[in-house]
Amino acid sequence: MKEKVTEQSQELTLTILSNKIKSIYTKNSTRTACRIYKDGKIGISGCIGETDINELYKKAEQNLEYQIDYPVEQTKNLESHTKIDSCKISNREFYGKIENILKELSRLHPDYIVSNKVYLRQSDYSMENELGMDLSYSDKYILSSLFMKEKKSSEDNNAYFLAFLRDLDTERILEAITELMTAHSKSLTLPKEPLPLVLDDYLVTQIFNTELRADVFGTGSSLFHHQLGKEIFSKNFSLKINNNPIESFRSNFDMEGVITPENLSCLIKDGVIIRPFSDKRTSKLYGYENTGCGCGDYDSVPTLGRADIEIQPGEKTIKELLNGQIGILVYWASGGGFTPDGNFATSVQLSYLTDGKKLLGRLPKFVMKGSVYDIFGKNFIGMSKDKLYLRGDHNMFVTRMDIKPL
Amino acid sequence: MFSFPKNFYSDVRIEHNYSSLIRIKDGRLEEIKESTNTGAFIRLFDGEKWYYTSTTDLKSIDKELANLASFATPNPDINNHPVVLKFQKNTGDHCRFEKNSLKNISLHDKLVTTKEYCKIVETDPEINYWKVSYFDFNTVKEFLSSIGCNIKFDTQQSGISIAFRFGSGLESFMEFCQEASPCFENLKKKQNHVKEHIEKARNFYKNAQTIPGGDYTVVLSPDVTGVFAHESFGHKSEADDMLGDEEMIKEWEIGKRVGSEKLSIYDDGNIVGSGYTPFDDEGNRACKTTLIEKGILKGRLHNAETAATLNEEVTGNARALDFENIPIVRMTCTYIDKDPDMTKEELIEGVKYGIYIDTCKHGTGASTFTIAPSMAYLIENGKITKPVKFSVITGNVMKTLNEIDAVSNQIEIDESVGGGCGKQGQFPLPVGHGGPYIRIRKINVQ
Repeated sequence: MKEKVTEQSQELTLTILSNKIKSIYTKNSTRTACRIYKDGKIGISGCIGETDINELYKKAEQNLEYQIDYPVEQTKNLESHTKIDSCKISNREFYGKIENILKELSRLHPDYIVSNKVYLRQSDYSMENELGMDLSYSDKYILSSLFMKEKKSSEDNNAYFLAFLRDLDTERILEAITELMTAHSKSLTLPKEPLPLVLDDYLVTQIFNTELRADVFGTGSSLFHHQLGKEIFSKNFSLKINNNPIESFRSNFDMEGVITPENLSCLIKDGVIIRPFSDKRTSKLYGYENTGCGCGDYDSVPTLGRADIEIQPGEKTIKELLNGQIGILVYWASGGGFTPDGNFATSVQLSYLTDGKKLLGRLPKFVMKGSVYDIFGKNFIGMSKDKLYLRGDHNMFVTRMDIKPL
Repeated sequence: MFSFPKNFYSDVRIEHNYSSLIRIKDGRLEEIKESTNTGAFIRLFDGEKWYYTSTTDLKSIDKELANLASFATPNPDINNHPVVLKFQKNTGDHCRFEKNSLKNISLHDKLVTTKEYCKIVETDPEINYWKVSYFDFNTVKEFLSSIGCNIKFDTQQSGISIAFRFGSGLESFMEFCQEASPCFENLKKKQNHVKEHIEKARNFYKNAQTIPGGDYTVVLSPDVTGVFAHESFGHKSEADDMLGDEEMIKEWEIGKRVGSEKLSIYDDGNIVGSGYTPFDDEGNRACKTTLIEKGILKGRLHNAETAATLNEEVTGNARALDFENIPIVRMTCTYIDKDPDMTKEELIEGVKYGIYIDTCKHGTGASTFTIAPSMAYLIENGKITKPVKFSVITGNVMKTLNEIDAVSNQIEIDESVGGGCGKQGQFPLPVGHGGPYIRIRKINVQ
């Protein structure tokens, strides 16, 4: 049985230095892989650039000699086409708008230097096979990665505006960056009283990407191995696989051509671990449901990788979750980690005090720490229904951890 | 030779990339593949802006050059531009791996070697999850420029990575180890290292205790020292962050004291291993660059543009992940220098109560650095005693560099493959790092 995977991308990258566009990179790239399935084995061959498909299939067939077991059913009779074309901007318009934003930022904030990169990306991805699988995903979006640094500062304490966007709304972007810069210029001391933390979920949910893998579960080596089916987190806490291309900026099908069924997308529901995440081969091996998490490069054998997981948004806004309190927006924290028994700690490089709507000022660096069971358990306040535009247009969750000045 | 457009500076970097990968998980062959691809990254400069494109159609390079020129403004004096004056006119074939290229070793041989490592973990009754992976790459680059640079060189690395888990639930522990070398034959001799690493991990799994957070004296192993050198100061030394930033340039003036007397840091792309970069992706030669000497800032890492702007010399540190990426200032092999007068044992004997970090999972760096440890131990009265677990060490880079009060007398450079540095999303760029054992008087542990 033959199967073809095609990835095409067109990208315009503008490098910005001191509020000016310094370089322009236009890239067109095509990657194609052919897969042959025979007698429970898989052979793959891939190529970057123009290629002869028949040659690729021939090589894929030759690669069956490596005897890679793939004893699962191929996806059949499944058609799905996602075309997200709300981002209509041309390369020329994009360049002009970015130039205008930079000029406006120079005018509004002469004390700041703006630098780094912005991208305009068209991404097309498709999978098809002889059994009637015909899947495609097409999306165009902007990635803003702007760093703003105070000219008078000799430290690399940048403010950032990092976001995936489908609309280059100049006014909204300027407003968000202005709010960030205004708060950034106002240095505050770290509050003595324990305040709730407002976080992007990626930072702390990374533990579920290692400990809820079906192979780790299946071999009995997960931190949560004995806790399947038990309520170990807050009733407000549910974790699901993000299967929505509009939110995730990726296709709704995985590298095995599986679209996660809605009823299998939830991994933790109301504080109870329901299932690990899996791909086809791991499901067959350990008997778990396949949640459509087959990953890999375009020319790789699909394998269980990272799941695109998110905390299920609740019914309250960030402000409502703070419930009249002031909170700490953790804007940038990296490099932390978990101990084997689930204790998390990280330094927080950039944070702001917030009332849930507005930023009130910048806080000094600090360390935050807590156990996974507390962060998503007794200390978990909730996941917001609203998104914070100035923090990547993401939903944010509110919890409590111990914090100490660095 | 290409038709480089007149009145511009332009260059072409052609890459012939080979890589192979084998992955065996819990005894099952999950993947085995070889990939080859060829492509070119093309740059054109008019004195104001850079224009870039990339292609896999090598026949189209002249057309692409002409197309880039059509967007730019001709500059008859471009060859006297300060940035262009920093480009070297190197020539010649500098390939060193042609005779023992990893391309020439069969996948079968690579599989046999990988399976030898599998035997170590698959027969261990206490390991309940494992994955053994083999990675390699061989890259041949040709670099040609409008001012006459015309070079060819190659790089390669191979390695085995082993991930394994002991236990379950709150008593589980996962550890990684890796053996790497540009020479495939060397990989066949490293099984004993892996066995020793697994025994250390088993002891850690069975005996590690949580310790309270706070400030500790910390000793780093050469491997962790390398990560620390890369994260704590290596990124600070990349000069692209200083462009257009007068305050940073003033703050980081050459000659300033930035660390203790014991601290010297170098970056050297000539060291054959993970960070080997004999020429950078602008055609400039690799240098041994002194970043810090006895605590004094002596240099930084440059591409042509940063060197021209800061009026310093190029260091051969413009590196791109592959032919689809823009070269930016990156480290090559960064290491802390040794102190001939102190042994590792003497260094540890000087600690009454502290922590020794043997292995780590990852690190990050800017003005604050972090290192997430994997295996660490308590030091009591000058002796390494019991294993301890905690999440992270972190601190202000400048304060911490001044807290280094001892370094040992032997350098070890870490060899790795499959991972690397991820600056500006260009991950994983192969880099090397290392150093001796170092002692830091005070560091925050959480």
